[in-house]
Amino acid sequence: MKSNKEKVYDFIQMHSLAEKEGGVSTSYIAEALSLQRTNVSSILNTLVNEGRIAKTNGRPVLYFIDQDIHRKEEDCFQEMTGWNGSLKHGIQLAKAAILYPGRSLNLLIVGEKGTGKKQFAKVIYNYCIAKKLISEDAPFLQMNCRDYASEQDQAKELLMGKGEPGLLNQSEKGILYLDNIQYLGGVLQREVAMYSSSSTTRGVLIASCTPETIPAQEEFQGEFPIVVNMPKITERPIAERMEMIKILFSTEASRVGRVLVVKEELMRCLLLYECSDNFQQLKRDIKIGCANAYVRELANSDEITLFVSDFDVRIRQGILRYGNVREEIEKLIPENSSFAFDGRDMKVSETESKNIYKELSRKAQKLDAEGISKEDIQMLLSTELERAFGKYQRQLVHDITSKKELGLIVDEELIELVENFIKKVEVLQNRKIDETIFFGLCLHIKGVVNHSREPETVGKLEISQVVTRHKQEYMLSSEFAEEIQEKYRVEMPIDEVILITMFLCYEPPKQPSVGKSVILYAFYGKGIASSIVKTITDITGFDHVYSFELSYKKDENGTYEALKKCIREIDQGKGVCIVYDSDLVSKMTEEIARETGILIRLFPAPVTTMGIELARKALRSSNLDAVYRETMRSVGDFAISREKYLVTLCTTGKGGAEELKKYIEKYGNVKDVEVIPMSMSDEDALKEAFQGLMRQGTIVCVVGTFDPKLYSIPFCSITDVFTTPKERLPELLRTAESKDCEIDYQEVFDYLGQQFKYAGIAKLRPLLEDLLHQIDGQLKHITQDAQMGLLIHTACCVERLLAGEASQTNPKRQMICIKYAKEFHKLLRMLKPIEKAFRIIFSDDEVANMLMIIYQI
Amino acid sequence: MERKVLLICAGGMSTGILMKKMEKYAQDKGIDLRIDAMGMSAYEDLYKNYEVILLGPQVAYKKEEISQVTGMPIGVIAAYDYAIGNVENIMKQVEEIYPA
Repeated sequence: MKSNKEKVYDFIQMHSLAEKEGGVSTSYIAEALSLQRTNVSSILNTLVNEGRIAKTNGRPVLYFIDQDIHRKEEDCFQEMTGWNGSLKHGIQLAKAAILYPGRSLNLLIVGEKGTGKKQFAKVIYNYCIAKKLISEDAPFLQMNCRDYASEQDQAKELLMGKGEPGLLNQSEKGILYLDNIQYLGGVLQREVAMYSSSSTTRGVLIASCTPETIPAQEEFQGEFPIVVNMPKITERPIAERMEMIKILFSTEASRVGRVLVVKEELMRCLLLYECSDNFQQLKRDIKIGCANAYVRELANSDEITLFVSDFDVRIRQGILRYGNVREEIEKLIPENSSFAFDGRDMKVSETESKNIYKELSRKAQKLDAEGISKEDIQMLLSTELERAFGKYQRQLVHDITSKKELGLIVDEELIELVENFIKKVEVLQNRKIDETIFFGLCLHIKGVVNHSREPETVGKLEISQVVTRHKQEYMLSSEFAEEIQEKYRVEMPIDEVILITMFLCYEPPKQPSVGKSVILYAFYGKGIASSIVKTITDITGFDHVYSFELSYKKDENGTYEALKKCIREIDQGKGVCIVYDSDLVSKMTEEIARETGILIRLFPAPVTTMGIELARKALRSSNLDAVYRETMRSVGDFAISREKYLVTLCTTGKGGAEELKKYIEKYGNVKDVEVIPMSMSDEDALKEAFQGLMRQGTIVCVVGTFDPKLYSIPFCSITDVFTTPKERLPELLRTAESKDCEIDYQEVFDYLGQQFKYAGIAKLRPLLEDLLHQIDGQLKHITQDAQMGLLIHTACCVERLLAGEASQTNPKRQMICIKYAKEFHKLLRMLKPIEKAFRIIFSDDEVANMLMIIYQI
Repeated sequence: MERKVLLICAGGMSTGILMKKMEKYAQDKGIDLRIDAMGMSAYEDLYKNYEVILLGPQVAYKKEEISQVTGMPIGVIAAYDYAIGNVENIMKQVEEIYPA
């Protein structure tokens, strides 16, 4: 007899098959199946939660089978936070294991407590179903080996069965998840492996353990060849942690049926505190926090605001780590923002505030009311104060980029006064004070002497803190304040002195650091690599060149691990370029690249190898030329030569590629490039062939029937080659070569800066980058080329508007306004920040122009 | 011999700065160049005065249409060349599309 749940599901499925659209309502189902309406309703909720059915948003709510749920097997993994980030590599491995031809490979998931090993196993189960490798009712069996740590016999019985089939046997049609496999004895581990190797069915075994306890036996490792590492929460990007927090609060919000409000302080703490048990810990802590808040606000029926005090002290201490990751966090959490969770999505709201101290004391009072200790408040606030001050400083110098501009706003006398003051501090403290501080201070003092600012009042707490921490700056500032007082006859209370002190102590944040590709010198011999790197950094001042020392004495394994660690540490997410002198490095790095997923490019510089070779030859022959020639021959393929290659690629056979090569050589004007025909459909073989070429030179372009999308080599399609008139072929190839190359935005903006008279590039750049990002994310994905064009277009637009030139009318404006009304308004909103910053208005014609570019109208 | 090049972009603005740079380049190199920039709405009446049309990358999708309307040699400027005003490459392109 079927359960009511299955009945309901079958009914919906039947209905979905019969009628293409819509769905069925709760009462309809209740009536048809003669069930209680409330029962049906709860069953439906469970089914929705399990993802088996979907529901509409309107009223009445209609339920239907979402075909996509099962069809899009890719989505299985997308429910995991970090599927496109820290888990990307692991997911690829898991997919490879599952889809392995013939029979899926068993998997070992390695990760610390609470990193999501079990969830991963479940997702793999769903993936297997979506891929139709196992049937929809296949079992997901699990066994936590820890429960049987001291009872191996029982464990064996459970696995192998006694009388009736054991778990291993049952899992042949589905998945068996063995949690904490390290608790199984060596004998039993081997038996599991043996069982699996003798089995011929499609069932998959997934085992998990912590990084320190990976079973060492060969039989086991052989049967579990794929190892997926689950990163610790601290190893993941902070954005992923934010994602987890969002999910957890949303879950809690829907559980209690109220809106949960989280303020920025709490959010910051949650992002940073030491989370020893990873995701599970985060989940636990958030649950407890929510429960505390819920009890506190039981009487209120409105939203629940969560306070730092609702959470454990450990969480509060997260703020101590703020300094290191400030920029990253500021990107995720806008200032003065709060986050509201209603169970479905998250809303962020910001409140503006002008007066630094007022805002701080308000916060202090609030924290005080929450019953947080003075020390903790101080800790929270001192970072607050710096932030708030930083914001004030940024606002002040927003429009000022040079002393000339400053001179337009502030009178000379005052500038001189401040300049002298700054110089004095610089000399006394033997340090350089950033120019923006100078600008900021000028503008600030101007506000004070003009009485255009509301006077600041500082709390006693801050005064004593600032004074004790920055004594010398404080003394200098009070002298300066006296000077101002005399000259301009304005009151300079202690609060103002404190503010001036803060100007002196403030360190403007460095340009947000975008990850760079880094360079690594890996050479044999003591101090060689590091000396080279030191020379490079001394000359250039760059900080993204590193060294690694190989030792002849160390064993290969040790070297491998050390090199891997080094590459992991220096990688900024953009890959590592390695200059090396031994083949061993190139072999190891290929493996490391595979293991870590870090991009690696190799530059051979075989100085040592060449020397050894030369010395050896010289020992045997006294003929200098013979020594030279022989050495050249033997290290020849290792030596640097920058050949240029163009690969013609056919899937069907080499004939096509040969023809293509002849055609290109005849008409393509490619004298300096060697054209190499290849015919390969196997990606791995192709990769290898490409790597071979890349060791000797660069592949400027691939021409062929399909784009292999390898090593970001530009691609040109065969259709384009043959449909382009012969005489135009050189142009086609040349543009193809430069098409996909990395764009140096700095150069682009430098160029614009040279051309523009009115629009300040420093101000424009972040706004434009933001705009493009938003367009790409919220309107339509556009190609890099079009993006580049749009960027220049918009920049020029701003410049022209500032120059007071009128925009041309766009004859299609009206049509676009009507047809793309929604997009039009969205784009208008995205343009607002630019309009505000430059005090310009984009005409409807301009907006229509941009839409034409975006939607290719 | 005078080269006559028409630059087309969405509103004639961004090709405008490129035009200025190209004019200067031509002057320095002693190339006889006549170059104008205009938006997509204006070219139909004026294209006959030029020999080559170059498009900004943001309006590359218009290439077919403009080619059909004008029947003239036409090229799309490579995005990066466009973005940093690499005049040398762009002049090369003019030569390739329509050799003097």
